[in-house]
Amino acid sequence: MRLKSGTTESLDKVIHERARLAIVSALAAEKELSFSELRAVTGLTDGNLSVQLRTLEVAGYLSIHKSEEGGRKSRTGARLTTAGRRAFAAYLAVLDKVLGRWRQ
Amino acid sequence: MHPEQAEDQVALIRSVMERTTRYTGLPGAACLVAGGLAIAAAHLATAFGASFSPRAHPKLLAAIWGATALLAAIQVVVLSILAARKRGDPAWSALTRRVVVATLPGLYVGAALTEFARRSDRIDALPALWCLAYGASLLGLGLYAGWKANVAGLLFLAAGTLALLGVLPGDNLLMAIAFGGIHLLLGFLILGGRSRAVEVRND
Repeated sequence: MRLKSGTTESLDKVIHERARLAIVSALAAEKELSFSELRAVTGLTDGNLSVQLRTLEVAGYLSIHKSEEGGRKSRTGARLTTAGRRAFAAYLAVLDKVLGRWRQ
Repeated sequence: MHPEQAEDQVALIRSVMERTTRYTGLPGAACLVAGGLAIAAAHLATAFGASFSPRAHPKLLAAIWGATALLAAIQVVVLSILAARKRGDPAWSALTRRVVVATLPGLYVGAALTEFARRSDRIDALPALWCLAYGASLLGLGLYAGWKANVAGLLFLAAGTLALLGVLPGDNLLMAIAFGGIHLLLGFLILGGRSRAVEVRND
């Protein structure tokens, strides 16, 4: 899911959207985060967070798993896949390029 | 992409990453309880004539402050777990593990210095040494928890240094001021702080 923006830069639309960029940034800083941790750091609502996580999962950028905690409560955790890390690094490179050219 | 938009994106990334690696799992209530316990212990020790002197009931002193430290540690762990469960967070996350590891060197130094002071008959220096070791430990916490823990850590270091230099009394009063007062201050600072989520607007 890549597209050309108004400039010459190639942007990854999946990551470029701010809610998803926030999720990917959080998971780049911490190997794995629970649903509630992601909600706390991004400030997204439960519904919006679920939708954005699903989009990132479908794109192959993160994996979601559920685990039992204390035998009763299930905990949803998310982590970036290798493809997700590469996509984030590529997105950062684009930002760096845009800002570098602007500052020259 | 326009440069202004790129700057916005970079600011969002930075802000989210900082927030993700910030530890907020220490409940203010636990600090208040720890402070209250320290003040009560200092009052109890003084009432029973147990001072930091080799000749003034050292076993009673050790029992009072040992029990206080144990109770304080247990309630911090219990309240932290309860707070994490309430938020739906794992009680033992990767960030929590890093925080614990960061605080351990200071606590270890405190334990080692305690044994050294006991063997060399210098228990009068213990309150100051404990303040210094605990202050260093709080600064380890401050690497992840931010300025509030750093302020508390620096205050402990200042109290310990002033007591070693003889400017502050190095006895139960110092314990009440430092382990009581600074914990209360930290508790109020944590309770007074608002949790701010990063503003993420959908494009």
